Amino acid sequence: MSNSDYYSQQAHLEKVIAGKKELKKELIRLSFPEKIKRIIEMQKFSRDFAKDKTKKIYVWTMESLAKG
Amino acid sequence: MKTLFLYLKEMQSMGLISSYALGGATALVYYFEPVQTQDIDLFIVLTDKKDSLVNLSPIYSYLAERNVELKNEYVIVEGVPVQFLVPYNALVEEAISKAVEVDFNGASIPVPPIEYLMAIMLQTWRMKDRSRLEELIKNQDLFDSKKVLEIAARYSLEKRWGEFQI
Repeated sequence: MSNSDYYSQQAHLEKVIAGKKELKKELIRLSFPEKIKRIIEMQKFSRDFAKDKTKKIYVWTMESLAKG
Repeated sequence: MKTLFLYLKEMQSMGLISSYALGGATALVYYFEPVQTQDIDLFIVLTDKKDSLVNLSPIYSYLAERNVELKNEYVIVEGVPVQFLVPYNALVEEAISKAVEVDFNGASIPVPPIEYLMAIMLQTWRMKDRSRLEELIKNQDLFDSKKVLEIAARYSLEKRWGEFQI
């Protein structure tokens, strides 16, 4: 990996982290019923995911993250 | 969920329970971001305390009469298991007594102040409690640190709280 590739990946990851922090702030500001709805959705997703025999997991690689 | 909260209010007015409050991660979520949790904890204080054994059957009977889905000790609301718990120590009792009514789509539900929820996490001290406390500490504007220390000190938890101080 070249230096410029490395710095481009770093810059993108910093952007991703900043985006996550912003998302956290937005989630904290949600109304209480909306937050409960999210919990119920998370529960449903976990249940469905556990039942799904054909489940596939896609993982971003550092390279694909850097490309955006 | 709103229906369950309305039922709780009715159970209180019928005298089945004297008070109640949301607990665990769901109560924390009122102040914080939504987090994954296995179930929703609801603390209930029973009116009938004559017997030293905890008897939740009047609660379950009341819910069964209203066709609420029951599975083992859980009440299933919108597919999510809700567990009724009785306060198991003085800190939890105090947290319930300090709970404030929070609006939920026109129904209300008491939620303990965040400082009490943090003190309970210091007491239960499981891996997930420590991890949630770590996250909360990063958001100091959400709680009153002096208040957490005051509660922690009264329940001999100040040493654990000290571990989170920067």
